[in-house]
Amino acid sequence: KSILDVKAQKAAHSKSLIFEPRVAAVQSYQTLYGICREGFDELCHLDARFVPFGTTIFSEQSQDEDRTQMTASENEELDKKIASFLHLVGARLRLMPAIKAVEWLVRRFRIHEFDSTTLLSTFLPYHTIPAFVTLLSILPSDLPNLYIFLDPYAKSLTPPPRAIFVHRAIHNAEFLTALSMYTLDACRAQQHYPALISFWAGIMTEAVNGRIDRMRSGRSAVQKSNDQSLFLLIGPTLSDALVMSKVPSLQIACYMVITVYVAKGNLDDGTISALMEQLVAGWTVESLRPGLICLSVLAQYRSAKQMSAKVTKALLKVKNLPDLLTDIGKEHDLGKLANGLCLALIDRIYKKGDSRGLPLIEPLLLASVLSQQQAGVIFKSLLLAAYKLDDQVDEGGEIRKDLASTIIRLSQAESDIRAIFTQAINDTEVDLDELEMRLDIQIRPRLLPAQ
Amino acid sequence: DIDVPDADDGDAIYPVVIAPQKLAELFNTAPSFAMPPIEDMFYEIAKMLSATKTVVSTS
Repeated sequence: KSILDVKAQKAAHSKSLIFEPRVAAVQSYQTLYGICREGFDELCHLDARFVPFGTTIFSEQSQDEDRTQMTASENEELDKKIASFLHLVGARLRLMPAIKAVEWLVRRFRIHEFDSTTLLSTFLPYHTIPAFVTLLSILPSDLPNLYIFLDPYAKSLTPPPRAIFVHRAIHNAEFLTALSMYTLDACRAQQHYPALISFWAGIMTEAVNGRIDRMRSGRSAVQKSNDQSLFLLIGPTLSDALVMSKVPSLQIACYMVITVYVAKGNLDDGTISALMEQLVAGWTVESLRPGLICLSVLAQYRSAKQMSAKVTKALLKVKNLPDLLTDIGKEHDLGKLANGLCLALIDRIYKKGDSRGLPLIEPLLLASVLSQQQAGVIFKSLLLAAYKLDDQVDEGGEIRKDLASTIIRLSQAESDIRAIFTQAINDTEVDLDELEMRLDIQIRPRLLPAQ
Repeated sequence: DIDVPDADDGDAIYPVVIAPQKLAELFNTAPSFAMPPIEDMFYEIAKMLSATKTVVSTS
């Protein structure tokens, strides 16, 4: 029996990310530590956040630590440290020092057996490189449940194509959730890196697209329940990720997912509004531009026209919003977003006496962000706001004056907008005499010089 | 009270068809660690959807 034990031990000791099994089998921990510690030290030079692991899983003392001799709670503690290290080293796995450091954890703490799920998750964004196949080659033959679909690739030692992960994410909720959790955990701990975010974003976007296609049903009750289950699956992840202001790249990745989700998912207004509000609650300078584009796509699929109070307030805070929207509008259709914002701003003028939106409405009307019809409606709303404004919300008449000068300037604008404005006045059954009196301005003579 | 009349501004919401191959092509251009910045990837997706919309609305 003891011969068998020794053989088994040797076989276990020969599992390595770097060395051939026969070489690995006879290596002492001391030799190994020397090689691996060198890798670890180089990592510390690259990123000081590795340094604390030098006193634990990479300490001199770690050479004598055998996890089979540790208590359950000691093992648990060890697993936590290993997971934390793996999350951090994920960004560097194409570098030899990182592989050397992970090698130590494989050889000393047998993480390929005890922490195989975390280890595989860490390597996923690198599924195309040889190191991933090497990892597959040293894993125990019974793969962890979450990664059982990689079995054929482990057996044949071939790198799994991306499509395999997409397929799994479409058909297996547990995998999609685990991948999201891993990614979001890394982001929360500021251990994220571009490849991880890109990998997650791509899989998640394709999974959402694929799941919507797969769940199409002619029966509305079934469709409704399918929609609900997809929302339950991805909603919490999106909500968490959207407000991670410290990780704008993750937010942008979410915008990608949301864009596909909203364009295909036939979402109800409530869900779309909630996504819009979460989006603006979390966006930052870095994620603002893509955020605005995503917001405009959300607006396109919502039947309610006006932006909600939360979204409007967030947009009011954006510096240079008209310039930004004009610029984005050259490539993307921002009509519904700009229209909904203008309507909300006009509402605030005559309902709350808040005219902060006026300086926004004017450039938006003059820029070609709105369609002609939308611009027409906004003009009419402006006129009506002027008509509806009373002393109750505009005690000193200041807002009426502001509104008046805005209307005047717009009416004199050297563009085809002027014709729309004329049309708007004709269309609107507003008593212009009364309006002129209220605003203390003359509109018609300027507009209709021919009469 | 006077209500603002609705403009017929093409508000009808069209369902969008996104071919899975198109998305896959986009994400398969490079391994995750060699992909363009996530912001550029997002713009690609946004463009893909607006292109689809144009096709639908002109048909």
